[in-house]
Amino acid sequence: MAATQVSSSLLRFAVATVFIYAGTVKILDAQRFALDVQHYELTPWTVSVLVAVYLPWLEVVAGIALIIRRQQLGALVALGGMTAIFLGALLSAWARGLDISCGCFGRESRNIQTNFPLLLAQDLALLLVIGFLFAMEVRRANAERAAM
Amino acid sequence: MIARTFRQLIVLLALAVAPALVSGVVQLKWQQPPPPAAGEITIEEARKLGDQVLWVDARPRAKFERKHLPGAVLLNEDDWVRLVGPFLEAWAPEKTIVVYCDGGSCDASHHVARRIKEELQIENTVWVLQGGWDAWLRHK
Repeated sequence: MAATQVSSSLLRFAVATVFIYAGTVKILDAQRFALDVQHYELTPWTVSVLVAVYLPWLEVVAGIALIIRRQQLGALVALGGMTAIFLGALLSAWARGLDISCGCFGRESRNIQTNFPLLLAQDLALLLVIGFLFAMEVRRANAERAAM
Repeated sequence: MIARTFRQLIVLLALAVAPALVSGVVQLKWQQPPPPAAGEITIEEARKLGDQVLWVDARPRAKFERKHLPGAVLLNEDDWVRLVGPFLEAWAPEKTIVVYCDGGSCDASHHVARRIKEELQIENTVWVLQGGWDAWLRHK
């Protein structure tokens, strides 16, 4: 039980760090991220800009919520939802043969040729970890309720 | 549990709105693009030229075939010898040539513009599109 709790805490911290970092680098260059979103050819420019301005902040806010252990269920749903949407967008770009920069981690990921299988594997792993953390949090909340 | 999760999600979605608005305004409205460098033209200026512009796509063929500016001709350094003929067929002395590549830090448009001037002796009306393809995406 203790081992599960420790690994759950470590995973929670790791997921939060990934999203806080990814969000911060995108916040610092929103115009560039808007272009990355536009390269998926799924949204008109105005929507790409709105996504580029809002989503990185949601990543950071949800990441912080995970670290400080507030609104954790909501944070995990938000992060899982964003990861799932990104998985879908990646699959769609791959199917259409688009040459995109994922833009996931800002400037430094931009000049690397898109490796779709690797990106999909990364996102799938992230989604699984988020799912595990969500299940753990639900269990903890249920146990707390039963103890009351 | 579902109601609680949903409530928390709404709180987080709302919390992200205010900083997103502030940083969005700061970055997208107040951060003006740099002035065009020597030999560059902005997308707004190029568009004002209307049909007078001959768009030249300096990107690789695969990207050109996927999507390009309306009426653009492909002329890149990878396949210069084969592509220069069709380019010259599309060109006319009264045309203003605007060369573009991906945008950001790509140099292909500058190289192609220089070769058009030096090797094809077309000097007065050759520009490089500031921001390249990305600038067009932003303004389409």
